[in-house]
Amino acid sequence: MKALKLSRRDLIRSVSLTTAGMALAACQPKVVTEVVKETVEIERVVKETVVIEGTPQVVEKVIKEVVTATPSIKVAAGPVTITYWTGWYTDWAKAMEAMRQTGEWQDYFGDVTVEDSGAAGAKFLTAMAGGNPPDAMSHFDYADYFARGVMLPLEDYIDASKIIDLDDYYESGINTGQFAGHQYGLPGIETFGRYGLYMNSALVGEAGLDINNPPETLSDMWEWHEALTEFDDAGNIKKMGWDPCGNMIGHLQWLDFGAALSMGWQSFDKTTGTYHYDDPRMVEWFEMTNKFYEHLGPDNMTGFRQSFGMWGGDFEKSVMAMKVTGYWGAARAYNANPEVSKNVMVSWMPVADDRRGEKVYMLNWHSVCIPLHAKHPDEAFRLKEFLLHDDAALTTIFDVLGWVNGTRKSTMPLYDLGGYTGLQWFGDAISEATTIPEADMNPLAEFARTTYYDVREQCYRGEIGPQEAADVLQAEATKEYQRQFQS
Amino acid sequence: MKEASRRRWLSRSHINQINGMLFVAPWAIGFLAFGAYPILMSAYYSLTYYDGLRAPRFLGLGNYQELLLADRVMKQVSANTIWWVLLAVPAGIVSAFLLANLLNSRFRGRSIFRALFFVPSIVPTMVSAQIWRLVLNTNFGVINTTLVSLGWRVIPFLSKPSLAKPTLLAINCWAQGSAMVIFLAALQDVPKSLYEAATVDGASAWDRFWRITVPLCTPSAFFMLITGMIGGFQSFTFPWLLTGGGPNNATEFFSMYLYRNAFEYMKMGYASALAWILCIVVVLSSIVMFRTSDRWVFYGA
Repeated sequence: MKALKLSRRDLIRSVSLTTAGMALAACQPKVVTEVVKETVEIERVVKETVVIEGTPQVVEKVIKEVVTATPSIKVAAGPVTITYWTGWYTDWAKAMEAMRQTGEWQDYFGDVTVEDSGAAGAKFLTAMAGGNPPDAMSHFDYADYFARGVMLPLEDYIDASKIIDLDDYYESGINTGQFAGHQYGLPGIETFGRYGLYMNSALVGEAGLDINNPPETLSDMWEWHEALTEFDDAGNIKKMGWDPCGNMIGHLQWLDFGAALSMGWQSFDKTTGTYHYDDPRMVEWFEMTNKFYEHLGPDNMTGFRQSFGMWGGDFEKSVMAMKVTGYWGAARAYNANPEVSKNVMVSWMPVADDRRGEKVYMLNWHSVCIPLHAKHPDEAFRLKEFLLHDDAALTTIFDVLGWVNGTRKSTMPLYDLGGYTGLQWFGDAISEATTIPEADMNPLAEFARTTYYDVREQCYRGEIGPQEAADVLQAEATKEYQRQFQS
Repeated sequence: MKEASRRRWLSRSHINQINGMLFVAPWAIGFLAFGAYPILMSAYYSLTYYDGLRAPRFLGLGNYQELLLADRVMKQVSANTIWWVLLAVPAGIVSAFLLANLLNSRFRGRSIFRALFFVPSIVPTMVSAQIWRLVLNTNFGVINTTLVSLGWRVIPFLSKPSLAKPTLLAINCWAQGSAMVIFLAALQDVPKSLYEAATVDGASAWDRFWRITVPLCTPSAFFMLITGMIGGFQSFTFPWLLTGGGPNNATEFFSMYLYRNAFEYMKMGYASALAWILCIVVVLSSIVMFRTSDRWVFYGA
């Protein structure tokens, strides 16, 4: 009998055939099977206050509950892993890890594993474009995605939820999560005041200013800035009063525009899709920033931004005496430099001179949202519900990061706002506000922001005038909006 | 009869052809899936408005019209990129060549110096960028803190528009370790007999350098120029990490602008048009360089 021989040619041909076949097989779509249970029995540990021998005591007891899932909420049998991406992972990862250690985490998730990781905008976009989005996402330019119809409407989930009570939410928080008639998210994770004037009382005192009489208008800010700014003999900045282009007030986001809130005009009308960047108040704002930057030196300020970033690094290092940023600045200052934190005082964001007395309080908004083509939307919604849990989530997040969920009326008692100097102001101020603006919902946040930064810099470097800067910003934003949403 | 017809159908050359195609099949499938298909799709997307999330909308040549005639930033971006290709790329090559000449001489510790000058090209770009930021930073940088301690004004290396690009050029020259090695190899190939003959004929050191060393290294220089030009048009990592395109768009290069349009502005169609323009420019530049290379590239002794 002839022995079977395998030549080198045959071997290579076989390997090539196999490899080509494997490559083709890998291109086939994955078949996903889903096992659905209509009802599931769960055990929950609940705390109850009972009176034992005349003394109220808190006891724990286990209760069994049969949850009848509605057709829109199915619980998969067997282990499920959901992917959760967030744009602010450096801090958020610590809070996620702390929440995993709570007993409530296991109760809520059982066989569901949450794989959390960080993601910049490009990662969200490419994943969605490639048909492979995460199951849940947060801390991104929400309006960009709501407006393009790529997020899952959550009305059915919210209606079926045994945890979410819409009456507990401030209306503006609910409205911000809506777009074109759908509810894409509810505020959670961290949602509190976005604009407060932080002052370093030690630097203010050294400059001979009265911390108990803080600046209210932009002209007041200029006076304080001049008094607080010091240059050395060579003209280098040693300390400065305020940078109007830094932190929240210098920012343009999907939610709002710092300049517009301060000056008092609506920069984007979401009902008509119209921008108003050529408003005369925008021109005044550019004139104001020019004044500050001519004083400080554009190159100096660019260097400052490169050194300290845009979000308060200079304040925390006591080289800038004032910043306008959100409530998170209090915990951030404490974590970065407790010595500076001791001296923090907070007041209202500065407004245009003719708006003296206006107290503007803008609520932040972050939510766990679910992409339209998420593989495990039901389990992702459980993550959203968990992050509303009073003890396991809200207090854990506050303890680790100092983040507050202030858009629900019932949650404020959970927080010890005195724990971080300056944070109490945000808790007290909301009831004193004269203006609580609605969100812009600008779906071109990144484009508008970059264009704003460009023309603002051209303006304070003297290349174009304030009116031209406003006109260019208006023209570019309008053209782009028409191209993306109205053609 | 059947056997004969089967033999005619499966001739040796047919079998060889089929075998050849099977051997290249893995590469071919990969190339078609990850090379050709994306290239063809980008050509299609360049004719559409496409944000990556919704279906593309046909625009014809609208994207090309916009970027050539109406884009507010395009003029500056193009100017920056051309500046970089015309100045930074040759500067890098010249500095690598001069370094290679220095390190081709015989002196003690030559190997150590060769290794030291090569290290920048193997250090990850992110690490290099952070190091340069610590050196050049206005407030914390080694250079500027020294200047401040002397009572002098800081130098805004990366925060002054007129200084930012020259600073990046200098960093580019620092990172020419790979080019230096290539030139070192080319210098080893220059026949010693030519130098000896030139010395006998009374040529000075400069004459030997300019009339022997430089001409015989032109093939390597040409290679570095072509690859450097292609890399220069696609310059991204260092400026992105160090300046983010600022100050005042002074270091916003073509690839960075392309990235912004694709992934920040959600204008994938427009970014595809930018990519095709870049491709055409690179191809045309390469053709011009090849056509003109006869005048200055000398192959062989």
